[in-house]
Amino acid sequence: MNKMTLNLGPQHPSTHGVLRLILELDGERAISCEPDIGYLHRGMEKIAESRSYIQYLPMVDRVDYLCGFFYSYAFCNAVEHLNHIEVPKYANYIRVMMMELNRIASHLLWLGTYLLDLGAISPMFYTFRERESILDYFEKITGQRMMYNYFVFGGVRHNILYFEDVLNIVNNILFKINEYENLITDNPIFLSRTRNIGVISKSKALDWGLTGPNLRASGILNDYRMNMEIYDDIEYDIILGNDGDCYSRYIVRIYEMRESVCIIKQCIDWLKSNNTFSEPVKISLNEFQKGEIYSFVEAPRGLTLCYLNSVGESTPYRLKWRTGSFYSTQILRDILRGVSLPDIMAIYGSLDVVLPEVDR
Amino acid sequence: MNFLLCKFVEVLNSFNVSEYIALILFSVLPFFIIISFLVVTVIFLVLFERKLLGYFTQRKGPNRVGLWGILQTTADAIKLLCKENIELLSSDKFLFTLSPIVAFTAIIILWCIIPYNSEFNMINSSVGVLIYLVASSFPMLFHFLAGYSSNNKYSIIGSYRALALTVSYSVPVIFTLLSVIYITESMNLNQMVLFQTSRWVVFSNILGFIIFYISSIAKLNRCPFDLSEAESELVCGYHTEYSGMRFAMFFLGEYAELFVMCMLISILFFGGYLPPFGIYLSNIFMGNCPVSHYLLYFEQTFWLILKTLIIIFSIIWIRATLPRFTQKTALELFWKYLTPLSIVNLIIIILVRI
Amino acid sequence: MNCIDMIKMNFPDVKVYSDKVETDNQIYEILEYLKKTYELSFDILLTVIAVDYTDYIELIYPLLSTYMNERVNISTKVREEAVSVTSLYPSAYFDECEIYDLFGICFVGNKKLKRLFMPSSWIGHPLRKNYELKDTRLSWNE
Repeated sequence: MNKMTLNLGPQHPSTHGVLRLILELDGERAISCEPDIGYLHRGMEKIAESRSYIQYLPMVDRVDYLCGFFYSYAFCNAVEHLNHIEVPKYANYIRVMMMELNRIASHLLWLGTYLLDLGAISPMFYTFRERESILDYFEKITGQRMMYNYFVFGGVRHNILYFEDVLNIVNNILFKINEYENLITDNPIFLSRTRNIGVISKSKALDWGLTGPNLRASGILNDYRMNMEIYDDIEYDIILGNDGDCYSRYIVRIYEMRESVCIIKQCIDWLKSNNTFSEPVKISLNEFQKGEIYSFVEAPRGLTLCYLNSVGESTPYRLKWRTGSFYSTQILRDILRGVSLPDIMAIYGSLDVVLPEVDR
Repeated sequence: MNFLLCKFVEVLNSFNVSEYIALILFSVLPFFIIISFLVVTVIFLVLFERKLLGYFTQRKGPNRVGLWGILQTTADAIKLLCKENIELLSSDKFLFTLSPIVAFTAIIILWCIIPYNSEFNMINSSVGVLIYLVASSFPMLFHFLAGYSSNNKYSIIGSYRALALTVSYSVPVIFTLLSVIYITESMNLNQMVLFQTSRWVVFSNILGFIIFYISSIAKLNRCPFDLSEAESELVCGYHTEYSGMRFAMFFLGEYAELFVMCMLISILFFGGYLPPFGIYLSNIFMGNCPVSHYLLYFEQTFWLILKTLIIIFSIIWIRATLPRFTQKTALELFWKYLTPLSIVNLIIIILVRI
Repeated sequence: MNCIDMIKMNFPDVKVYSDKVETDNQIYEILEYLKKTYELSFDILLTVIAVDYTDYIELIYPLLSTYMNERVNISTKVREEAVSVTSLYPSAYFDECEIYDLFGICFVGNKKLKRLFMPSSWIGHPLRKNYELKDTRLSWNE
């Protein structure tokens, strides 16, 4: 048998960044796959050891540029727990709202690029149009479109306004999601590309450490929002898939966007009726407590862990990021065996891997 | 043709040009007309597609160079022609250079067999359809050779995908063409058009049209059958290693083929240069004045191009809507569904005629 | 009975802290027990965290049970070699490679250890506390 080694990436249109897959091909069928990462390694964990907490805060958004709010939340939460800082409920609601908006933006980007991977060009522009409206709102509130630096220790940087804008945005998105579904969900070509393609069984998903929508698409109930205090008063459904194939991963993300809209509306209702913004407490830069903190957040690409180890200095002793994409990349070693080249793209795209998050 | 020839010789004689030179000029001139027409059409067509795709996706498309961006593709073409030709040391240089040239030339032959109006038909052969079948198989073959000779793994995958697809779509194309030939009782394209004066073929052969339309999208290598240059999988497929002038040849060829295939669809199924309701506008408005005879030719070409553009519009619309087939499903579609269907269609048409 | 009590009952040598369970050399056995006991079924190994305390390196294994929706952290202290858990949790492969790359710990049982982030020719292990930041290769950095 003649094998062909195909070096897919680091520069390839559909690896969404700088992932390199070393594929052994027999014809178009992959015999083995070895992901090679590290092309975007910025040493986020090493940098943290030489920066003070405040200096590191703006860098946190850069771990994953598509959902910066989640990472700032994980880091802020860790520091707050370390120093026993109370966060007012109002600020927590703002955080939830911004995070859910960010989740929608991230899923929208995934939807567009996934369809682009499958060869359809238009959905990309449609989803970017809606994502744009969310980013415009973020820009209005935080001054930035992607690297927000809006959450600070003990709350948020300043009060949030323009609730009507948010309502308009999410209502519009709810309407547009139906439009996308009309265009995509029942398309026979789309179904033939995603149904029963890249099936990840429950045990395989758990073994390889998948979290987030990818795990829920395999039918396992696991959403860390259940354990997060700030989501306590909010009602929402957890979306589960059945088959663990590309199609259920698509469906889970689509419905998750709708749930996010639901959460945002609840947040706005609460925020409107309890408009009590207070400035975040100022914390001393040199009096940090000792201890180890595990701060979790359910990011769009899976469970995110910020492990913070402090020995009482002004800089973290050790900071570790656990990101969802890291494990979604790793599972490619297993599930790409015996898969043909077009399906490799379909499967890889459906896992929603963002490379800066993998390499950190 | 004779009418035009006499006129041409007359006009040149009045300028003291000998008859022989006039005859030679008369046979060479149409080639220049066609090639210049081809280049202008392609440049317009690329702009047309980019504009349309822009509006499909809520953008404006090119709108900077020239008025409404009409010079954008001209600028692109000039840029491509000025670019350096890069080739790998390990590529097969002879085939690498030859493939785009042959692929492009074959498409010029396709342009020559088209009857643009009742007089202007470069190659008025009694077996026009056969010439079409032969000439149209060349581009795909040389796409394969291009991918093979450029010694790139993506190109090789793209080229054997192209080859597998060519084999599979050719069968329904031939059976559908047979059914059209059976209806029109001719293999001369001009005769086929004239046959449709009373009724277009599409009305008696709707299934054949659908099969031919799908197969031509595959032949044109366009979405959803753009497997051999699937951007998200193979970077650029068979022309990954091509650049500059050689790439421009492929690019021009691709769009020239798109236009000529759509012209062929309108000739085979929609009455070619015949007006939609059998009434020539120039006859209505100009009456019997002497100019109307010449205007008629232009009007016929106008109808042909209008029908072609409508078909091209539908193909671009499909590109803007659908994701891409995989190799497996595309081959399944052609072998399992379209090939049997086209045979059944041919049999039905024969039975109906008997 | 919660999971920490069960660990303590089966593995009497462990030390229990407020947020983690520390073991000396039974890490593989504990993880195997946690994964394969039906009432616990800690099925996801979230990550492997390494912390360099200059004279030893601590490895922390945060585990998540989707069945009970509970977490537990198991930690162990190592110097240069550790036991690989890839046969239990395949997802540990990248984590172990990362720690091998950045901390220089060899995982016995992981056959394909490689440098994950740094170039394969890199000398030194960047996340160690004794790593010289004044490397000439880093001269562009500040």
